[in-house]
Amino acid sequence: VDLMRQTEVAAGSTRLPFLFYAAAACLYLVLTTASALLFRGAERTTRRGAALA
Amino acid sequence: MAFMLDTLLQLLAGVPLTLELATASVALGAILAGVLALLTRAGGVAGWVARAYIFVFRGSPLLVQIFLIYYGLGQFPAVRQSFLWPLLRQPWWFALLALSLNTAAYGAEVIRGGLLAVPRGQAEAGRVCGMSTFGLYRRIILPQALRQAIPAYGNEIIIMVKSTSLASVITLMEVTGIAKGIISETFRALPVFACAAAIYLAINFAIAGAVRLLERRLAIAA
Repeated sequence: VDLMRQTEVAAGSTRLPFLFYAAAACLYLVLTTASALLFRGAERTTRRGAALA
Repeated sequence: MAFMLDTLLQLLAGVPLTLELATASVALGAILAGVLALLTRAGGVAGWVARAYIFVFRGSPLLVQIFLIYYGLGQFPAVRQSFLWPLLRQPWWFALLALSLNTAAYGAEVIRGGLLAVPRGQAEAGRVCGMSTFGLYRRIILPQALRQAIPAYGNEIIIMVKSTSLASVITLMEVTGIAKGIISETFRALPVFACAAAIYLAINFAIAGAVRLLERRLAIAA
């Protein structure tokens, strides 16, 4: 039972799919933010001093 | 062997729907991706909205997005009573919507990377020649940025072909949907999914070849 399965069960039993899938999306966003920030940092570091076209 | 052949023929019936979803979503997504990529450079509210959009659609799983749109939207009476509902009720449109919105976010990042690769001197030279911003983008920046973006965008197209398999969870009978149906009748998961995988492989082989051809045609003669 991972996050997705748990969400399916909750959405099915409460008949509130929008609420629970939105909540799941938010939780996934929290998890992926870490890698997004990491890559944004890497981008900034490697582009230091270079100007945009 | 006869079973494999029979399965393959049945699965091939789903190929048109798979290709339909893939081409339509890639085409729609590419337009939106271009707009988003340009907006991320704009700054201000527009740039902020574009970056937020990319963050949300890149950061959450496509499966969740499909469920959110397919099951979630129907939860609201306002949506069910709107004039769009007869159209939206069909899973095809939901799948197309979810796939397009998703690929647009990835495509925007690919194009943004291409735009970043254009040297600043190119734009400055264009300005010195008296080009307008529109002319500068059309004749100097975009041609170079898009050529730079093609290999990564080819990647995204291939991913989209595979992502159409998720449309089977909202009852669309494309290749994966048909495969699941055959398996529930015969319980022979391995040969059926092997056939489905072979079909996706063949499609993506053709796409990879086409992208490489395009790359070669647009390459600068060295």
